[in-house]
Amino acid sequence: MYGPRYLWLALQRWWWRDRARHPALCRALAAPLPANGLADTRYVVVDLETTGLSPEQDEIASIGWVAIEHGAILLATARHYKVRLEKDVGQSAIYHQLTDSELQQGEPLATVLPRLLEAIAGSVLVFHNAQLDMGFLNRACKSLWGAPLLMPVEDTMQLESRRLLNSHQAIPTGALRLFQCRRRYGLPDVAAHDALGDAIATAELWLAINAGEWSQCAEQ
Amino acid sequence: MNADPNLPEIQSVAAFLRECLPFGDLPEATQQDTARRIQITYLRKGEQIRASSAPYALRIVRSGAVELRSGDQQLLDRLGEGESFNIHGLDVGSEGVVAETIEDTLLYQLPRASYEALRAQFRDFDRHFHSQRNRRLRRAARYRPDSNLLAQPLANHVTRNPLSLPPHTSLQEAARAMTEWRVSSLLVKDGEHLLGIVTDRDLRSRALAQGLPLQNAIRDIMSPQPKRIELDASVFDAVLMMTREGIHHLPVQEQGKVVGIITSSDLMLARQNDPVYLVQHLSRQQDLQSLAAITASLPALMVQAIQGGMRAHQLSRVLTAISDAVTCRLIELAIERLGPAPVPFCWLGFGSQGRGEQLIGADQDNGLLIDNRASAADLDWFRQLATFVCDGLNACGYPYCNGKVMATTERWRQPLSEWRRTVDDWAFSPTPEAVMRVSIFFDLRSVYGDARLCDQLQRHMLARTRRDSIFQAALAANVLEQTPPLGIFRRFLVERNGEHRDEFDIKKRGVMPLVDLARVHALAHGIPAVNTRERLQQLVDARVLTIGDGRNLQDAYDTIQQIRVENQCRQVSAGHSANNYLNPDELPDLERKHLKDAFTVVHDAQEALRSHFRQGF
Repeated sequence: MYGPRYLWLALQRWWWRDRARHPALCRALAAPLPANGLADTRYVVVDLETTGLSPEQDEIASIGWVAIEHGAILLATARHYKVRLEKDVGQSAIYHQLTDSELQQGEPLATVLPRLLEAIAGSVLVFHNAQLDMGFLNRACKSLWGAPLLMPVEDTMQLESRRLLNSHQAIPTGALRLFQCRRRYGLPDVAAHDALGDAIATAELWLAINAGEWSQCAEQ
Repeated sequence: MNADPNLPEIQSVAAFLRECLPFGDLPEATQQDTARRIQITYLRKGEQIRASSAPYALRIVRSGAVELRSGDQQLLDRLGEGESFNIHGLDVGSEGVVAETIEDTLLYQLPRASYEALRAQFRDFDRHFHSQRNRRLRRAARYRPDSNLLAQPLANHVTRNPLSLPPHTSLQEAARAMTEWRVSSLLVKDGEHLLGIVTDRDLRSRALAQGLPLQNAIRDIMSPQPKRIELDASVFDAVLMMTREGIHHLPVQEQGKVVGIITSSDLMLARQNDPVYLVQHLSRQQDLQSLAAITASLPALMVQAIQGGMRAHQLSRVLTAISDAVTCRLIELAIERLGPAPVPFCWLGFGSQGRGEQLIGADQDNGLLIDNRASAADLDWFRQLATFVCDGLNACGYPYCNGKVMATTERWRQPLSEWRRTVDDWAFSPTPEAVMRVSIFFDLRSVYGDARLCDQLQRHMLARTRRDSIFQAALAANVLEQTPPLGIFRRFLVERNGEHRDEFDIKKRGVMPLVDLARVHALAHGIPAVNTRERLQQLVDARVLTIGDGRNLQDAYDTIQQIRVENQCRQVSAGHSANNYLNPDELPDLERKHLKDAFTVVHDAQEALRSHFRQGF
């Protein structure tokens, strides 16, 4: 189902899994890659809030995720953690409405990240704009535990971009933003703007994009 | 349900649940906890959910739309955002219910264990889902808060600014002031401070019987430190205190300050608004002005009665009894003036008066049925009678009928033989316009005079209509022209512009379709009742309607009328005159839901009628 691109991933994972310096990261790298159809694959949809757009300079401010099993988003698996920042928040605080003092209440990244790693073992990760969030996660794992986070990844933004290009539409500015994508599938606007809210919104979008595929399993 | 403190709040989902019935009434913590138990699925348009294959869960439409159909493909309901269904619960009542998405739909599923835990823990929540729509509607129609005069707040009956005099006032001055104020008690006050109370009885037994000089101060005879009652107490509290203490006068205080007085005769007077009293009182009035003065208080009576918990159908009976009393009194006043009637006659009430379903602001719809022996000169007497009564009714707040369905119109004031001929004409040539005009006529009742005339006419009419399927079909077609204001996805259809923008006419679009339905069936089956609830009952008894359908229609009727009346109460309380326009956005969620359910019942019944009479169209 996944084709050759996971072969390369599998090889890399095999190489790194014994070199990682955290048991949770080792487990995430060692778990077999999902090889079944969409319906039987477990997905974990992740969203990060960061203090900026550069994984080298900026920090993860909060992490939210939720799992999809058998085509249903299970809110019981939803988690949301604030991360204690090393540097100050900068401009992004206005956007995310977080202040330095609020973020001081968060936990260290080294405490939060293993929880995510436990949750994703054996699953496929889903992001809206995976490149950015995976950049942050990879860098965090490498600097903390000496190995990148090599996981199968799906990206709703990439899928939408490809879909729009395939239908020969020019992509207007902002058309790939999460809420714009949702609107194209008739999904409701949501007011919440935090990592978990966006993770759930992304998960719903993922369901909608793959709607035809779920039909066999969604109500089983 | 215990919440792990490490679990996150799922804001967007909890916020949505808060807007959904009946989750909105759950405690905040329970809403959060419920949000965490939800599973989200997405279905494309045209996918189906069946009890046989889908897991047991409550499904809430987050976006999109779902149609529920019974095993035989009958449309049961159409659900939009925020509405929920339990396919297994629906399947209990009728086999093989299918939910089908009619748009791409995002569904929130609450798994069985969580759903049942909520129902076990929260009574209102359970009640909401107890079965499906019909039972929900039934409870809405039957729910009745406790009520009567005794439960009313005392504040409505308190006399404000009671007579108060300083303690050194002489007995004679006090007696003079009481006489002048026409009161039976006075408060003895030193500035703002209440010292005592003096009543008629104190003047009699403590002053006159003791032979006290008239110059003595009232301080000598007052009852010091009288019992008081709080302004926010109920009438019941006041009656209880009076009975316990053996007193008839109670000072009323608000925040420690005396603001009024309540007496046992005030409480008797409260009964004045009792409709039975009012009907009696009307029949004793000697002229039009005093009749009109009483009917002017009807809007206030309506508000009081509804706030006191009277149901709409009871209120409409009362208001009809009152308009009957006004009509009868006007006829008697006319006879005093014109001399006795030359031949027997019967004053007919049509429309809502005929059905016993009158509310505030109803037009007058009436007619005169005269004995066949009347001569041309006699007919002139009846013309004068009609003019007097119809003018009088108009002055009493029952405006002239736009369609001229009044005894003053010649066609509606005829000897029995002519009436019969008119009925035959209508039945033979049922033009749509004629049908519309006459449908009101079939709801007739004798208000005054010789009821046997009315019976004869009604029998003739039923005999004609019962066997005339073409006429019935024409009547049915007319009935089906007005549909409940529900659009696709059960949204309310409202006026787009004009004076009543965002509103709809609940009488025209809600009440009348149901009344018309009941009438068509009644006429087709020779049912003599004219009251809508009675018609429905007799149709069930005659097995024209199933018990279930009959009850659903009755509940729908009660629900719509109740919401209509409560809307009028809000209008009157806000100082406007009562009309039938309603803005659905101003209704509480639950009422809006009940109203939609009721309209759905009416709509389904119209569909059934449409297919029944299709051959005749």
